[in-house]
Amino acid sequence: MFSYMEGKRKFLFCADSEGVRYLHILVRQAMDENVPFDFHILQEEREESFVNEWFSKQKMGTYLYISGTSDFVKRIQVRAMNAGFSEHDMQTFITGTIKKKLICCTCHGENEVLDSTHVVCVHCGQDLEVSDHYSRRLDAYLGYVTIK
Amino acid sequence: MHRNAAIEIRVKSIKKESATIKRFTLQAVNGAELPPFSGGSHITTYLPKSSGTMERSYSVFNLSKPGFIEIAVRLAEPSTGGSEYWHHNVSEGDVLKVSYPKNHFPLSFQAKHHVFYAAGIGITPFLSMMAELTAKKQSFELHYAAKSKEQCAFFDFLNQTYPRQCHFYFSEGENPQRLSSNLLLDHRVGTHVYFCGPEKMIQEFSSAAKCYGYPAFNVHYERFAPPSKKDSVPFGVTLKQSGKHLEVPAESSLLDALRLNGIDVPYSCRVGGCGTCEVKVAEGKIDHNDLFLTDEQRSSNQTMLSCVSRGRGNVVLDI
Repeated sequence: MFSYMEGKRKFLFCADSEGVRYLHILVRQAMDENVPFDFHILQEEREESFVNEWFSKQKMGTYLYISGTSDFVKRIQVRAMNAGFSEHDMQTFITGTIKKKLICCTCHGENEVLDSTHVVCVHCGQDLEVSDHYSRRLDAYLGYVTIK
Repeated sequence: MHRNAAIEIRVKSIKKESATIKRFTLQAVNGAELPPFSGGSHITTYLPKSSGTMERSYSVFNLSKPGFIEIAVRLAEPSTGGSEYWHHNVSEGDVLKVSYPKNHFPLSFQAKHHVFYAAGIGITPFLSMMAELTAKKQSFELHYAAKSKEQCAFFDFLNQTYPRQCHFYFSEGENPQRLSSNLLLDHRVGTHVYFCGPEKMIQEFSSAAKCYGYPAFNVHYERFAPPSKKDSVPFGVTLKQSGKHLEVPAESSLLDALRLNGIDVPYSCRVGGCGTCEVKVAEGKIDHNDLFLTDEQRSSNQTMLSCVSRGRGNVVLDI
């Protein structure tokens, strides 16, 4: 869940129609503390290119909250990073199922994982355990060989 | 790797950059190229004195030929010995020992834009940083405060080499200007800021950055000297593993006291910036004076940097 960041100059709230309700409590706190904010709800993917300009105009000290489905959060996060936001300037919250990329430690193939802890690699058939070993470069988790 | 290795250098030339700042160009005694270094690096120079070897670190740059290393030294008033030695005891042709370059003040590789804030001799680490960023075609700007144009070391070089990126602030003269931390309000997201200068300036700018909501991740600074020890008081130290007890006098650091007692704590920068001399704390209250540990690490009370941080009363160290 989100936590409210104290001491920021400005907040940006960005949500899809699923994620918007998780931001209300933060907006209320920002209003109570007189911290300026922008709020955008994006209903369709074609509206999203607008955030590039919105993000790139921001000054240091701005903090971003992204709330929505796994795909939506991922897309907005990439645009934010391209504009200069880092993991230290933002929080994300995923509604619904969390999709993960899993890299097979045997063949290095990419698998998509939803909620399971064990999968079979679609490329080489290796039984894999989903680890929490995350690669920022690949935006993926490492799948270890399952020890039977 | 080269932690304890030293290189013999010859002072090739000495150039007066301002009334109080001299630039020393160093070359390898054996004629080879000196090791390359990344932006923000420094070397430790080993200065032979009758009382023993004095170690002083200086940022390195190279505005001359490839293979040389240059340092700039401001004659401090009062000098603790290092700058006085370089200004009064070192001549062209002299041979001295220096360490391999080390970097405790590296450039961020994630920044979209780099902004350097320098005061006085604080310009030196930025000379190598700007050279590196120019080679990598990355964007940067410099804000540089000095008393006057005459006392502004490297003014002509900076103006000619980076005409669009440099902003100067001269506090004396007809139109005095002050380098203000309000400038921090105007940097675009993705900017990393770097401060180098007197302790007061670093404090002012790092506090302002925090106050404007900058994440610590985007803020970098380098000190030349340990924080002032004006109000230091003695404290006691018990070593948990041997049960040994020792006293750290007000004018001495914990690191010095430990080494004096035969405990070989590794160290490098001696100003609380690199973390090499970290020791584990088992019990006691610590006054942290470093720039290295995170707030969480400091408040955990389980670790301290022995070069600048001090205990209150008595502390037990897990060594």
